[in-house]
Amino acid sequence: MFEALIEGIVNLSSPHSLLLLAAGSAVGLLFGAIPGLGGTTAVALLISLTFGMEPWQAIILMGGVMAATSTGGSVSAILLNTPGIAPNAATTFDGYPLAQQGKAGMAIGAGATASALGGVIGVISLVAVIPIMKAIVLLFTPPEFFMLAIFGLCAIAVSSGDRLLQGLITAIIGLMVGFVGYYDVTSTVRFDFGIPLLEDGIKLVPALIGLFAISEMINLAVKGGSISEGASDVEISRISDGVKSVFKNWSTMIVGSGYGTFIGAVPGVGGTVAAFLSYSTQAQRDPTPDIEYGKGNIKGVIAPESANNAKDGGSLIPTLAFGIPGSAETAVFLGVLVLHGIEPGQKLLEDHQDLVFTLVVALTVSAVFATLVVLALAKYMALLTRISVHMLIPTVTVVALVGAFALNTEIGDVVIAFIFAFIGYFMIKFNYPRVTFTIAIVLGSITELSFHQSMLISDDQFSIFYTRGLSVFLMFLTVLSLAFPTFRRKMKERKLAKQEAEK
Amino acid sequence: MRIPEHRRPSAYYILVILAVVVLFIATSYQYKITDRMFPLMVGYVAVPLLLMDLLALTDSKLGEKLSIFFSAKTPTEVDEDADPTERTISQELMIFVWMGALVLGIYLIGFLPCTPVFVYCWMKFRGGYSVKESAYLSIGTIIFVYVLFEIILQYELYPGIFLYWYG
Amino acid sequence: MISKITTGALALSAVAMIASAPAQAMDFPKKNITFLIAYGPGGGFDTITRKLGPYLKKYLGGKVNIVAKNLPGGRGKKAAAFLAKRKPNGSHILMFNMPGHAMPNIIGEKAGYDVRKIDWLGRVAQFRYIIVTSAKKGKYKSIQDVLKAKSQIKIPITGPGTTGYLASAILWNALGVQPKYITGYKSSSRYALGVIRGDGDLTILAKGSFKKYVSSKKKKRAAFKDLKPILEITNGKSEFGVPTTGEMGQKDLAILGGDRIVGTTPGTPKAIKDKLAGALYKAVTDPEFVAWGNKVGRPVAPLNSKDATKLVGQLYSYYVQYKDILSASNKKTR
Repeated sequence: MFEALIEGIVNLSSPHSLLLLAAGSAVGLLFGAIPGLGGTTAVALLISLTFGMEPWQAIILMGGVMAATSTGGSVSAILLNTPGIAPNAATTFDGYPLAQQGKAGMAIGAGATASALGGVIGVISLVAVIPIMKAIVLLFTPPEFFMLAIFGLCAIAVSSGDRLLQGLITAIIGLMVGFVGYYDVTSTVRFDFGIPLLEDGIKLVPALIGLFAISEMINLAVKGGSISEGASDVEISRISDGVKSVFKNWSTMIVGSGYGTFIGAVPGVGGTVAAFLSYSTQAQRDPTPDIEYGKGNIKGVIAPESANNAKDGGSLIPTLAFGIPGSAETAVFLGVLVLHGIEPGQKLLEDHQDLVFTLVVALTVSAVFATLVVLALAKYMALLTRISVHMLIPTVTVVALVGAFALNTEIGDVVIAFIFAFIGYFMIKFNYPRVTFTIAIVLGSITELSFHQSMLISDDQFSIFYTRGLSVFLMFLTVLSLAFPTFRRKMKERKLAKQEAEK
Repeated sequence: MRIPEHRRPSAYYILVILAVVVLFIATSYQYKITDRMFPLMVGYVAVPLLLMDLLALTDSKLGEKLSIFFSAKTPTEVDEDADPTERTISQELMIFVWMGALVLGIYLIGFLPCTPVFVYCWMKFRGGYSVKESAYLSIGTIIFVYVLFEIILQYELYPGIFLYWYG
Repeated sequence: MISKITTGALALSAVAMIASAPAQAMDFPKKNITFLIAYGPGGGFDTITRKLGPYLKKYLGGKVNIVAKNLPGGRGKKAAAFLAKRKPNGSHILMFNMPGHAMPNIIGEKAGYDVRKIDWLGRVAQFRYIIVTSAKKGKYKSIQDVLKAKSQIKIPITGPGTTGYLASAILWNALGVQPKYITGYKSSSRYALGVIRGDGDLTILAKGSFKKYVSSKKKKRAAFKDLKPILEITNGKSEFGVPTTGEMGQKDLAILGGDRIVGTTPGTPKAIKDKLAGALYKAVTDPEFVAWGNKVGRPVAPLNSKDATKLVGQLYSYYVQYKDILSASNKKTR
C-alpha cells in the first residue's frame, strides 16, 4: 500500500501531470460555480480529451475536476444564493445571509477552507476503508436505506427550528414532488398528467435552479438595491476570518466530513443528503447559537461545505469497490475508467493500487488547489454582491435558465425551473423553509422504494426493520434527533434564566 | 375567530397549497395500491398540518396555542420575525410577467436571441441604464453564453420550438 | 400471422421509400453526424457510442466529425422519438436498445417512433443471459434445486416491463417456476449486488456483466466473486460448465438477451443509408475496436444492415407474443 502511495505521488509530480491537475481543477471550479453545469457535465465533457491519454493521466484530470466542483459551487451559493451544484444548496442557508451582511469574503474563506479540509478527510477515509470496503457496502440493504431516509427526513424537519410546522408542510410538498414520474418498483408513471417530460420525474437540478437562483432574482427585483445593501465596505474582505473560523470550529468540520464520507458512500443517497444532514446536525448540536442558523452563522457554512467535499472520497468507495457509482459524477467517472480498459471492482483495488493512489493524491491536491484559487480571488468575487441588482438579475437569470436547459438539453426543464422559481419566491415571501423542501425531494423516492423493497423481501413482515443491527442503530439516531428540540428548548430556557439572574 | 388583515396573504397561500394537496390525493386514487400507498399517506398527513397552519394565523386562543406549540412564539412574535420588505401585488405581477415573457420567448425563438434582448431591456427599462451600458452587458452575456455552451461544450442551445422540430 | 403482415408492410414501405428517394447524396457526408445516446453519460451505451464514434468517422472518409450527444429521457424513448422526427438525411443516428426500445410499440404506448419503420444500419453488440446466485448466501446451489424448490424463489430485478424483468418472466414461465420478484433496482449491477447481500435468491444477468464483475485474477475479497452461475440461456455449450436452456429442451429461449442496433431516421435515401451502414460495419469490425470490446467485456457482434433489419423483425414478433405480461405490468389503474 505504501509503495502504491509513493507511486501515486510520483505520477503526479511531473510538470505535465500538475498541469493536467490544474486544468481539471480550474474546469471543476468554473463548472461548479455555474448552476446547471456541475461536475457531471465537466467530467463528461472531458472524456473525449482523455482518449489519447494514459489511464493515470485521465485519472489525474478527472480527480482534479471532481475535487474542485463543490468548492466552485459554494462561491455562487454564498454570493448569489444559487447552489452551483445540488449539494451546495445547504450552503445558501447561512452563506447568503452572510453575503447580505457584507461578510461574503468571510463566508467564502470559511467555505473554501472547510472544502479543502473536508476533501482531505474524505480521501483519508477512503484510504482507510479500502480494506473493509466490501463489508460497508454490503451492510446497506433496503431496510437500512429506509431507516437512513427516515432519519434524514426527521433530522431535517426538526432543524427548521421555530418554523417547524411550515417545515413539515414544505417537506410534504417536497415528498409529493418526489413521487412524480416513473416508479421503479411497479414501473408505473405517476402524477405525470400526460406530460412526457414528467415521466422521468422532476429533475433536481432545474428545480434547485428555480428554487434558489431565479426565485432570489425575483425577490431582489421586488426589493431593489444590491445583495449586500446597507452593509459597510470594511467587512467585505475578511477572508482570513473565514479561514480562521474553520479551525476555531474544527469539530463542526470533522462531523461534517464524517457525514460526507459516510453518506457519500451509500449509493443513491449522495452529497445533497450529506450536506443537508450535516447542516441540520450542526444546528441541533448547537442549541444556543450566537447567531441563529439561517441568519448568517458561519458554522452553517462550514458544516455543509466540509460534508460536500468529503463525499468525493466517500462516493468513490462503492465506485471503486463494486463499480456501483455513489453519485452521478462518479457514474461518469466510471465510464472513463471503462473507456481506458480499467475494470472497477476488487481487481482495480488489488492489481492497480498505483492508479487508486494516483486518484487519491490527485483528489487531495486538487481540493487544496481549488481552495487556494478561491481564496486568492475571493476579494474580487465578493464584489459581485455590491453590483446593482439591475445588472445582476437579467444576467444571472438567463445564465441560470441556460444551465437548467443544458443539463439534459431539455426545454421543459426551463419551464420546471420557472415554476420552481415561483414556488421558491412564495416560500421566501411567506417564510417557509426551503431546506426541508429540497431534502424531501431527494429522500421521498428513496423512502418509498426501500420500504416497498423491504416488504417484498420480508414477505410483508415489519420485523425486517427492527431485527437488523444497522437498521436499529439508525432508528435510534432518528429518535435521538427528534428528542433534540426538547433538549434545545431546555438549554435555551436555562440560558435565559441565567441571564435573568445576572441582571 | 377571524384572520387579521395583515395575515390574509399567508392564509391564501395556505389555501392554494391545500388545493394542490387535494388534487394530489384525488389523483392518487387512480393508481394501484402499491403506487398510491405513500402518496395517500403523505397527502392525508398534509391536510391537518395545513389546517393547523391556517388556525395558527387566526386571532383565537387555539391559534395562539398552536403557534406556541410549534414555534415557541406567539402569532404576534411570528409577525415580527417576518420579512419586513414591502411587496405590492402589482410589483410582483410585473416581475412575473417579465420572467414569464423571457421563458415564453426562449420557448418560441430560443436562447440566442432572447438572452441579449432580455438583458438589454431589463437594464434599460427597469434599471434605467444608458443604451451603451445596457448594450455592453447584453453583448457580454450573449458572448459568454455562446462561447461556453455552444463552442466549448458543443451544446445545441435550444433554437425555439419551430427550429427544434423542423430545423 | 400479424407479424407476417407487419413485416410485409415494412418491406413494402421500405421499397416505396427507396423508390421515391432522389438519387442524391453521393457526396454524403458533408456535415457532422450526431450520434445520439438514449441514456445519460456514464452508462454502457454512452461508453460504447463514444468509443465507436472515431472509427465511424474514419470509415466515412474522416472529413466530418461524429458528435456524440446524450439525450436521456423517458427510459430511452426521447432520443428515439427525436431521431424519428429528423429530416431523413443521415444527419442523426442512434444505437437502439433492443428489445427495450420496442416495448412501447409492442404494448401500443405512445412513443413517437416505431421500431418497425426505423432504417437499420447494423448491429454493434449483443448480450445473452445467465442465471446467477450467491455462492455464500444462496439457498439454491443448482438449477435442479430451484426447479424442486418448495418455498417461493425471490428474484431481485428492475421494474416490470424492463428488459431484465421480461426476460426473467419469460424464462421462469417456460420452466414452470413461479417466483416472487423484488422489483425497483435501478440497474443490473444494483440487483446483482442485491443477490450478494441476500435481498433475494438469484437473478438474471448479462454474461458480459458477470464476466466483468468476476474477472479478477486474485481470489480474495471480491464481493462480486460471490456470484455463481447456475444456468446459461443458450442453445450452444455453456461457457461456465453449467446446464443450459437448450439442454433443458427450451430452444426458443435463446433469443432472450439484448441487441445494440444502430438505426437512423425512417425514409433515409438508400445511397446515404448504404454508406452509413457500410462504414458502421467496417467500424465495428475494426481490429482495434474489436480488441477494446474484448478487453472491457463488451465483445462486438456485428451484423449488416439487412440482417439487423431481419433481427428486429424477429425480436418484434417474438416479444409481441408476451404482450399480455408486458401490458399488465404497465397498466396504471387497478
